[in-house]
Amino acid sequence: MTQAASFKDKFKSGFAVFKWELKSCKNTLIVFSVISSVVIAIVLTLSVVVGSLNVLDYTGYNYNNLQTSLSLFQVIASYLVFMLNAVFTIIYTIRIFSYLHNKRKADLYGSMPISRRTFFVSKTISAYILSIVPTLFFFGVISIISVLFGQPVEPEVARLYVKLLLGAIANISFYALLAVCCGTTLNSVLSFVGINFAYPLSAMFIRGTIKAFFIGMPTSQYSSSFIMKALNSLAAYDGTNIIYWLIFTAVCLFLGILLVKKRKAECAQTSFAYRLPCYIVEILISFIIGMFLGMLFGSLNVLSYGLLGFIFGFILGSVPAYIITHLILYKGFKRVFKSAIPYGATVVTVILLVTFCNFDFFGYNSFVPKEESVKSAGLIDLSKCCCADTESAFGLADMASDDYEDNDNIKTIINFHNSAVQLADKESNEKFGSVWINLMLSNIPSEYMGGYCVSYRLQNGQITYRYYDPALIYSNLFGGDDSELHTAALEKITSSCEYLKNYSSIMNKSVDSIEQLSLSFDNNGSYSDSFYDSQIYVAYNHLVDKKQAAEDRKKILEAYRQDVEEKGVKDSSKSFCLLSVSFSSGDVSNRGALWQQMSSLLTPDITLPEDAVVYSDYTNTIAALREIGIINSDNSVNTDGDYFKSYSSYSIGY
Amino acid sequence: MIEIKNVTKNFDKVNAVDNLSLEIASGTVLGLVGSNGSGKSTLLRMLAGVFEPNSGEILLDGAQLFENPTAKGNCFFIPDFPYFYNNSTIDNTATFYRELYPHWDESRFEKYCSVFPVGRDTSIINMSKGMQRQAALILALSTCPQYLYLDEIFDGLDPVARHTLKKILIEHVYEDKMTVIIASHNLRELEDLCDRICLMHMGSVLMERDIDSLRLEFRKVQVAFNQIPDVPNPFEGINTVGVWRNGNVFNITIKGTEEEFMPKLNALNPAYVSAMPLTLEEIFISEMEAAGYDTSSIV
Repeated sequence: MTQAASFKDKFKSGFAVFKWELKSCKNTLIVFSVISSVVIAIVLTLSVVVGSLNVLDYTGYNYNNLQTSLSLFQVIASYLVFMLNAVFTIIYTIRIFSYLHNKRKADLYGSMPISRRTFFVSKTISAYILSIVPTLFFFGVISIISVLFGQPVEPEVARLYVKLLLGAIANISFYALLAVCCGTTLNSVLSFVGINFAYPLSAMFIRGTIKAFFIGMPTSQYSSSFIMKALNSLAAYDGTNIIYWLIFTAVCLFLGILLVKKRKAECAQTSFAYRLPCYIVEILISFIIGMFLGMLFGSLNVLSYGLLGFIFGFILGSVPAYIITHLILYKGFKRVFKSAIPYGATVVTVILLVTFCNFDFFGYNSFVPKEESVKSAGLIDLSKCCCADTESAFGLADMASDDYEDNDNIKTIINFHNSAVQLADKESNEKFGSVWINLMLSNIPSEYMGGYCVSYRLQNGQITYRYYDPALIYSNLFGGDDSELHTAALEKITSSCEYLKNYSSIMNKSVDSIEQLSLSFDNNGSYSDSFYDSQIYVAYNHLVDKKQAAEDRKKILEAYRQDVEEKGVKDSSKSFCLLSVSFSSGDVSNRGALWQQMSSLLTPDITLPEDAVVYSDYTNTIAALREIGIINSDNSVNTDGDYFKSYSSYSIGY
Repeated sequence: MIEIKNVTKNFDKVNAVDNLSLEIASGTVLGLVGSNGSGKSTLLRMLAGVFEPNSGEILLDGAQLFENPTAKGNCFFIPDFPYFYNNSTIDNTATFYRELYPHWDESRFEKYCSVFPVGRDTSIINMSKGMQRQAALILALSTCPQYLYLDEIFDGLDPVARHTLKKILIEHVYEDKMTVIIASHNLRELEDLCDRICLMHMGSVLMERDIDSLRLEFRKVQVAFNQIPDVPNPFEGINTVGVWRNGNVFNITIKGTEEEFMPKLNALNPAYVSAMPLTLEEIFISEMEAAGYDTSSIV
C-alpha cells in the first residue's frame, strides 16, 4: 500500500515544476529584460538632454532642473515598464495555463507523479513571480538611478508598485480560474476579454438606467465603487479597492484549486470543463446589446410607448447576440438550448425590472416631504463640497440633514425639491433617452459634474434624501420660468457663511494639501470678464522657491479662514479680490483612466479650483497679502512683487 | 499488481470503457489489442492517472491510483503522440524528471543515452517521430518505473530500435519485475514480446489470455476432400470460428486442441488435413469476426 505524498514531497515536486516553468519562459524573460533596459536607457537619455537644454514645454513646466528631469524620467520610465509588464503578463499567463487546453499536454502532466492541485498552485506561483519580480527589479533600477542623482522616489512611482502587484495577481488568478473552467486557450482568452469588457459596460447600463428612472438616486457616488468593476479584473491595475481585489484574488485561487482536481482531463480541446464562464459571457454580451437596442427603441418611442419599444429592442438585440456568442464559444450549436435557460431568465428579469423602474410603483421620483413632517433640512452643492468625493451618499445626506431648522430655509429647500421633481417628471421614452446622458456622464465624479443633495430629517428621526444632477434636467431647471427664483434661493444657501464653514474646501481642507492658490484683482474688486486670465498665482518660480511659495499659500488661507470666522460672509459688492484655491485630491487613481494619471506627471492631481471672495474688511487676509508682497501698503497690486513678475509666465508650482 | 475493477469511462454519450475488470500480475508484459475505438488508449490513460474512471476503481499494489502521486511515481506513460516543450532536450527534461520521479537512476539514464542514438542537446521537437519515441523511452526507462504503459510505441521505430526496445523491456521485466502494458496494432511485434494478450472491442474485454495458450487454442486447418460429405454441415460438432471453401478445399479456423477436433475431421475421410497455429493477427481477425467487426461488413 503506497503512502500519501507528504508536504515535503509536494513542495519538492511543486518547486521542480516552478524551475521547469522558469526555464521554459527563459527566452520571453530575456526579451522583456532587453526591452525594459532599452526603454529605461532611452527615457533617461531624453530626460537628461531635455533638462540640460533648459526647455519649457507647452505646460510651462520648467525643465532647467536636473532633479525635475529625473523625476520625469522616474515616472515615465516606470509607467512604460508597467505597461510592458502588462503585455508580458498576458503572454506568460496564457502560456503557463495552456497545459489545461491541450490533450497531449494533459497526457504528459496528468501522468506525472504530482497532484493536480500542487501542479496548479506551482503554475500560478510561477506566473506571479515571472510577472512581478522582473518588473520590480527594473522599478528598483529606475529608483536607484534617480536616488543616486539626488532625486528621491516619487510617490507616484511608489504607488505603481502597489498597482502592479494588485493588478498582476488579480488578473493572473482570474485568468487561471477561467483556464480551469474552459477547455481551450481561445475560450479562456475570449472569456477573460469578454467579461472584462462587458461587465463594466453592463454595470454602467444598470447604473444609467437606475439614474434615468429614479432621478433622485445618487448613483454617480458609486463611480469608483468596487461593484462597478467587480468582475473587471483589469481595473485592479488602478490600485483602488485594494481589499476587494485581494479578496477577489483569494476567491479565484480558491475556486481554481477546488475545481482543478475534479476537472476532467478529457475536457482539453473541448469547449468548456465548467460552463459558468460561458453563461456569464453570454449573459453579459446579450445584455449589453439588448440594452443598447432596447434603450434606443425605447427613446424613439417605438410601438408608441417607450417601455414597449424597449422590450422589443431588448429581445431583438439580445437574441442574436446570445446566439452569436454561443456559436463562437462552442464553435457550433451544441448545448444552445440548455444554455438558453440562464439567458432566458436574464431576459425575463431585465424586462420585469425595467417595467418596475418605468412605472415607479413606490413613488420614489415624486416624493417630496410635507413641510410639517420635516424637522430639519439641508442642501449641498456637490461642486462646492470638500467631501463630495470621500463621503458616501448617505454620509453627505446625514451631514446635511441637520443644517437648517428654520422654516424659511426648509421651505426654500422644499421648493427647490418640488421644482426638481416637476422638471424630472418625464414621459417613458424621455426616461429611456436620458439613459444615454447618464452613460456618457457616469464616470465623471460628482464634484466635477455638480449637482445637489437635498436631505431631510423627518419628525420621526428618519433621514430621506435625493441627489439631482443638473445635466439631466439642466435645460429645464435653469431655463424655466421659475429658474431664476430657485437659483437665487439656492445661491442664498450655498453662499452663506454657514455653508462655507461646513462644506467648502477653502474652509475645511488641510492647509498642507493646498496645491494651487491664485488671486484676481480688477478696478472694481469684483469678478472681471477675464477673471481666469488675470490671476496671480502664488506658486514657486525662478524668484520664489517651493518651500516659500507653500508657506505663503498657507499664510493667505489661514488668514482668510480667520476673517470668515470673525466677520462672516458679506455682500459681494464690497469685495476686495477673488481667491481661488485647489487642493490635492489624495488618491490619484480615483480619477480612473490611466491617461489622467499620466497627466499628473506634469501637474499634480488636484481638485477643481474653489473660488471665494475676499472682502474689504478682511483685514487679516489683506495684511497677509501685503506681507507676502502681492499688494502694496495702499492695497494696490504690487507690480514689482515676485509673484506678479512671474505671473505672465503661467508657472504652475507645488 | 494492477487491479481494474468494474471500470467505466464515458465521454459524453460514448462508452469508451464499459464495466471492465482485469488483473495484471507484476512482472508481465500485457499486449492490449483491439479494434479502433475499442478503449485501449482510454484504459492506458486511466492506468496512468490521466483520466478518472466514471465508476469502478483502479488499484496499484492495493492503492487507489488517481491523484495519488506516490503511486504514480512508480508508473510512466508514453502516449501515442508524446508532448515535448519547444526548448526541451533530453538533458533538460532529465533535469526535471530527476526531481519529480523518486526512483530516477542516473546510471540508467547514461546507459540508455548511449544505447539509443539520439542527441542529448538536440531539441526534441525537431527530431523525427521515431527519434522522439526513443527520447521518450530513454527518459521513461531512467525513471525505473514499476509499471510502464506504452501506446503504439513501435510506430516510427526502425527495426533495430524495435529490437533494442524489446530486449531492454524483457531484461527489466525479468530482473526488476517491471510490468509493461503495450497497446498496439502491430501484432507481429506483440507476439514476440508479450506474455499475455487482452483483446478489446467497444470498451469491453473480449478475451484475455496467455499468448502461448492462445496460440494452442486456435488452429488454422486446411481440409481437402475427394468427395465432399453429403451433409448440410460437414463440420458440425467442431468449434469452427470461420469456414472458407474453395472447391473441395476448406480452410477452417477452429477453436480447440488438435486432440479435440482431429478425430472428428478424420471421421469425414478427408483426402488431406493440415493444422497450423494462427498468428496473433489471424486470431484477432477471427475474434473480431465473431464479434461482428469484420471486413465483410465494411467492404
